[in-house]
Amino acid sequence: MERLHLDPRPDWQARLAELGMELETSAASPYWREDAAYRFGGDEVETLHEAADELIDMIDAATDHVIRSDRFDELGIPRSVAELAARSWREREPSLYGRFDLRFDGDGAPKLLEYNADTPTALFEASVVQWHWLEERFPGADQYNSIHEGLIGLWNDWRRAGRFGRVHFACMPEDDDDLLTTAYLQDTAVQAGLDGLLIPLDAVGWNGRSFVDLAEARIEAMFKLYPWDWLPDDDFFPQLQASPMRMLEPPWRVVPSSKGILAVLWELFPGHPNLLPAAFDASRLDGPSVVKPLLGREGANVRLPSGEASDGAYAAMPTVAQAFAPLPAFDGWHPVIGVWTVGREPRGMGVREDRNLVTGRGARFVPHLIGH
Amino acid sequence: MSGDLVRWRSRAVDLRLLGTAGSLMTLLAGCSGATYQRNVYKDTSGCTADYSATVCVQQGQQMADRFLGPTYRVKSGQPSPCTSRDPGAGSFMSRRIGVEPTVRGGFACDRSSSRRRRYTTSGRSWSFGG
Repeated sequence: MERLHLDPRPDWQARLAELGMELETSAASPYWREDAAYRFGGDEVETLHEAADELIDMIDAATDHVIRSDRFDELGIPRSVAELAARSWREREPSLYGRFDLRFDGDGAPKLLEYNADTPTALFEASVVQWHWLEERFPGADQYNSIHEGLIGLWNDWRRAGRFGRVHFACMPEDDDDLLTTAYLQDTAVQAGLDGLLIPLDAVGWNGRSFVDLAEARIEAMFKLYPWDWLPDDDFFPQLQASPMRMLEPPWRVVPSSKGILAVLWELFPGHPNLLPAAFDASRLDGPSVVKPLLGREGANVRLPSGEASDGAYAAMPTVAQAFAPLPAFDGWHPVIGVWTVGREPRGMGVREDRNLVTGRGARFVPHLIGH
Repeated sequence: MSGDLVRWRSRAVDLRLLGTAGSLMTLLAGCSGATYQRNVYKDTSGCTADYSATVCVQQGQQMADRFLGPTYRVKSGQPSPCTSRDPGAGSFMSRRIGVEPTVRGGFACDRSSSRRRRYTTSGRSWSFGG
C-alpha cells in the first residue's frame, strides 16, 4: 500500500461535472482529489476482500444475536424500530448495500472501525468516478471496484425473482451527496429493467390507505436514504409501522448500523483478527480506547484517548468504546478504507483520507489502483 | 469472487439516467403535514372542463370508471389559489363527485442530513415523479 503523487487530468473538474459531481470550488482542498492515489498490491486487495467477506457473516451472526436476545436498548435502537427490525429479520428482507470502514496499512489484518449499514454515501465516487479516473489515467490497470456490476446484478436477480418491480428512491434532495447517491442507485435499478422513480422524502404522500408518489400512485417499495432511527419521530411513522410497503434498507439494518454492534462482535468473536476489542463500558478494555456515540454519523462526537473530541450533535448519546488503533499516516494524511458490500458480497473500495485521526466531514476521497 | 478473479473492476460503468438532463418537475411537497387533494369526476368531460385531457387520469375499468384531476394544495380546508406550481381546484367544481385527499410532508420534516456539502449537483436537473 503506497500513496502516489500524480498530475491531475488537465480537465479533471469538467470530467467530474460530466458525471454529475461538481466540486465546491470555494473549498480550500476539494473533496475529490487526484493529485494523489493509493496503490495496493493484489495480495492486499485479496486480504481486504476476504476480511469483508468474513465480516459479513459475523455481522449477520451479531445481528441475529441482538434480535434474539432483545439487546436493542443496549444498541440505542428505539423500541418501535426494534419491532420492525425483528420482523424484517425473521422475514429475511434483503439488503442492498453497505460499507465497512477498515483500518489497514498494508501490513497485518484489516480492522473493522464501523459498518455503515443503513445510509452509506460516497458510493458514486467509489463506483463511478474513480473507475472513470482509472480508465483515463491508467487504462491497463485494475481497481478493486465491481460495485456497479454488483448493483445491477443484484437488482436483476430481484427483478427476475419477482421481489421488486417498481421502486421509489427517496431522499432529502437539498443534500447533494444524498441526492447523487440515491439517483445513482435509481440509475442502476433502471439499468436492470426495474421501474425506478426518484422522489423527495417529504413529498411522499399518505392517502389514507397507502403511501403514494407525486402522481398519487401507490408506493410498493421504497429505497430511503434516511436513518431508521430518525423515523419514529416522523408523523408518518405509525402508518409506516402498519404498511406493507417494502423498504430498502430493511429495518433490521438499524442493528449493524449501531456502533454498539462493535461490542457485540467482540463478545461473540473475541480475538478475531479483523476486530478491535470493544465494550459498552470503556473500563472493561485494557489500554487506550476511542469512544463513539452509538448512532453517530460522519465521525461526529468521537473522543480520542487524548481527550480530544470531534464536534457534532450526538454528545448526549450513549456510547461504545473501541480499542485505539490509530489510522496509518501517509504524507500526513490518514486513510480509511471503505469496502463496499452489495447484497452479501464485497464488491470494491473507496479510500477517504483526513488530516485528523477521526475521519470526519473534512475527509477527501482519493482514487486507488492495483499494482501497475 | 476472489478465487477465480482475473479482474477486480467492472468491465463498464455506464449511466443511463445520470448522463442525461431530466426535467425538473414542480413540486407540491411541503412539510408540516400539508394536505393535498384531487377532484374525482364521473366522466372525462367534467375533468377536462376543469383542467385538460393531459392531466386527467382514468381510474377503474368500464362501469367503475372515474376520472381524477391533478393534485392541488389545500390550506385550512380551502383550496389554495391556482399558481404556476399548483393547478388549483378547478373552475367547475360542481361537476366533480368527490375529492381524494392526500397528506404529504410526514417524512423528513424538521430534519437536515447534517452532512457537509462536499460537492454540488446544481448543474443537473432532476426528474422527480411517479
